[in-house]
Amino acid sequence: MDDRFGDNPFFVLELEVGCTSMDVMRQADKLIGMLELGVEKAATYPTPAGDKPRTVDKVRAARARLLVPEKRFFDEIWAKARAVDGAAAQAAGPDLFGALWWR
Amino acid sequence: MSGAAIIIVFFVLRVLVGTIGVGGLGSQEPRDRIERDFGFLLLWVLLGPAWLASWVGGIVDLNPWLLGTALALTPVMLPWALCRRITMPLGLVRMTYWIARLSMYVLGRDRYGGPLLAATVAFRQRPQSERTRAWLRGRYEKLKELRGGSATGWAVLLDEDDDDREMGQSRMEAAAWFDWRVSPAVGRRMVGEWLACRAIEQQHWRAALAVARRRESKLFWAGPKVLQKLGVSVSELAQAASRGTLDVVLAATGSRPAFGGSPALEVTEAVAQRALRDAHPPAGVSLRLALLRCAHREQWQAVLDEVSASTEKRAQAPAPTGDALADAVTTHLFVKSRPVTSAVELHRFGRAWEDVLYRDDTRAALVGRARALGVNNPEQVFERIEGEVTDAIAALVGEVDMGRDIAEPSTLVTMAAEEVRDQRVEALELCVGQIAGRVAANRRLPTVDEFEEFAVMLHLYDRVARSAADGRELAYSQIGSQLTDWACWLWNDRQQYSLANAIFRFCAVEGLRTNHIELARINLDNIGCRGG
Repeated sequence: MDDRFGDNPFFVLELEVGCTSMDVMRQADKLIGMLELGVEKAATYPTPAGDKPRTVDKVRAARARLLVPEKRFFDEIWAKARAVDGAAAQAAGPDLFGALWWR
Repeated sequence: MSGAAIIIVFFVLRVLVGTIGVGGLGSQEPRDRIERDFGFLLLWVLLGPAWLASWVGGIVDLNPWLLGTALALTPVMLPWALCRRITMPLGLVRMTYWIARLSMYVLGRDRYGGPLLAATVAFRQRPQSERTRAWLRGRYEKLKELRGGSATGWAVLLDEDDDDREMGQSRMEAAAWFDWRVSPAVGRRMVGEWLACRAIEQQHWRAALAVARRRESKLFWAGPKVLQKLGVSVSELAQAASRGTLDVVLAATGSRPAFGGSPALEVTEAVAQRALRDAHPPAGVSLRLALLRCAHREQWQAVLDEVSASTEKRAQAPAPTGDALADAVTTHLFVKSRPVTSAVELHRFGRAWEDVLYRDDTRAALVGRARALGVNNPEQVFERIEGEVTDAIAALVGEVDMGRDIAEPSTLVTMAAEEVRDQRVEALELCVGQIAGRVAANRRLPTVDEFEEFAVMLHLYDRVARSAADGRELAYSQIGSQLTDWACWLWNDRQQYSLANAIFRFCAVEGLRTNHIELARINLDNIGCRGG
């Protein structure tokens, strides 16, 4: 769970920050079932940093985190992020060194 | 025969123009050029007609003797063309070196280092054996005096590791401080082109523009006497430095060697101007001609197109919404997902988090939410977030140029910047202290290693200058006089006139920029010294 945005359990489970523990359990079970059946819609989830692939392990880890109050509070803070234009694209400058005649 | 006649007439005119001093400010310093032109003229007068006649006779009569003579004379008549078009692209290192030794016209400003530069370019064209590498390094290490050409060649030789571009940049910048009179034009152009590529890679558009525009400033060094003639005093230079227009004045007086004309630099100017959304970026025929003259022009064209497109869809910083936590977290995502390019952006990021972590109302609301969730110790969570934020800021402070005043500084960022600045000042002091100790003990390094120390020092100096608004002043006040002593020692005891002159030049310009007028004046006087 290093990526505060891409791996945030609220985004993985597509839940609002005010959801209950029951909502967490129900949503996790539903997503695991869909993933095991290979439902395409469940294969990715949206985050403010762009779409990410969803796996059964990720869903289980998200469920476990949201059931621990300290971890849930921490993740709630990061889940407040809004999508930012251009945030998904890592803007690296072009490499022109190979275009120099002497290199 | 008419070809030889045209070349001879051209050089006769050049020598005449140089001798009668029609070259304006250039007439102050064209002596070596007149000598060079005269030498070339003499060579063509004596051998040019015979060489061309041998070619014509050999081809028309299919005479092997005449063809052999023509071929044998070619390295003497057109050594640089032979290197540039044949031996360098083929990667023939030793042959390039020996033929380039004959190229007094193109490489004469660095008689021994210039051919090494050519050999190094040949070395880079294809995989070479360890023996060849050792031979080339050995040639550099045996140089009696390092000049602009050999400094550039050394930087090119070590520029193999793309992950170490920072140090490569410092070597190129160190080479750019050498006097134009000891730097072959081809080497200066290479330095300019490398620095332009680096600025484009880092998306430092203002730096790219500055490098590109340095191609055209006058070539001639204006010493104190010339400054006087031009009506520019040292205190006026200092004023220009404080107004941020020093580079303009220095370019006008020619104290910073220009990189010379290069199509790559012309295209760089267009790229930078488009990225900066200049109202009148270069376009049309001149840009097309520059692109046509560029090696790998399709790559330069792609960069131009990419920059034009990216300025349309540039990521915008998230606008504040009034929800302090949402704003802070969104700004966090924004700065983590793309390179942060300005200190203003970084301070905005710091202030957004300060509004969450240190403002009573937002903190109380968060504590309330934590209690509702059943969190026993919300302070632990805050500490963890604070740690993540300060780590992110510390990493970014090292990347961003913090060297200017900010209207609304963030305490978190300022504290992190001070810590980074102190560490960097310590590293710079250590480096210059070691040099000073070596000078005191008269411990000599091979010339290329002295240059390497200059490059390392520039690297550390630049890091300090970029770490805080007062970074440059702090750095110069710590090391200015020790650097001057080092350069004096290189001049007096080691006869490394060119390297010493480059360091004097650096000390003079930085002294003016940081308002250390007396030290700047000493170094300006030192630049005017003649050695050898």
